[in-house]
Amino acid sequence: MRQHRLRTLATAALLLLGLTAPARADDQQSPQRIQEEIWVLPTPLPMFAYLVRPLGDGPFPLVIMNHGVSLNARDRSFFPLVNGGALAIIYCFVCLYLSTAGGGPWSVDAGMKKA
Amino acid sequence: MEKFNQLLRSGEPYVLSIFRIVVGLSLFQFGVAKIFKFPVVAPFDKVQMFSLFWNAAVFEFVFGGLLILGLFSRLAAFILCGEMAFAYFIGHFPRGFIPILNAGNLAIMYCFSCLYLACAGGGPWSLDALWRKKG
Repeated sequence: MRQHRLRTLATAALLLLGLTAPARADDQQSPQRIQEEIWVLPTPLPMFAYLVRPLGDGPFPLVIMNHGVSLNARDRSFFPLVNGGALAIIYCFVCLYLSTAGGGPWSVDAGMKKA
Repeated sequence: MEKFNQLLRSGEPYVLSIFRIVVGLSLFQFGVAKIFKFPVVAPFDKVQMFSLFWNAAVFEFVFGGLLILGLFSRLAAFILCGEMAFAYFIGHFPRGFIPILNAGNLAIMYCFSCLYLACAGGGPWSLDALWRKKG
């Protein structure tokens, strides 16, 4: 069990390294060989897209990152009281706890176990 | 499936403590917002000292803080459970029967979360548990 946990941790650490290391290497070698553009998409809800691409001949791998940020400052607040997320947080943790504790004695689960 | 359930069940005591901390933090912020006006939230920035809302905020600040620490968890949760029941029936129930319409969902969740915590206690990661180990 312990070994398994260690292996999981090591895998996670390796994954993180793999994700961060190439980006850092690129930054150090040639920061000027990247071109950044900002696109404004005329969708019903106006959206910005940041296009970052290396200069020179391709082909390059394409990565699309969907990172939603609200244009409304209230929604971007850190505090759940301001952004209105307190209920979502409570539901999240209530369900997390229920997933570990189970449904208790007054549930179909318990009835099936008894039968 | 049985193995999966077993795995989840093994984490139950620790998740109980995490759950207690989150409920505590979540209630604590209401106390801080109403007493110290931080962060500034529209319905709370005009709460007068010693008004009903202010008194509720003192409960949330003190007992929410105790829930975060896990000190006297059961007592703190029991009192907060009662407070949230009052909050629901004073602040939300008159606005309509359905919780989605009277915006009382959060109060209901707090009330029953605290009711459960009052029965289940604070879990292993709490000052209560630390105290019991020492004493």
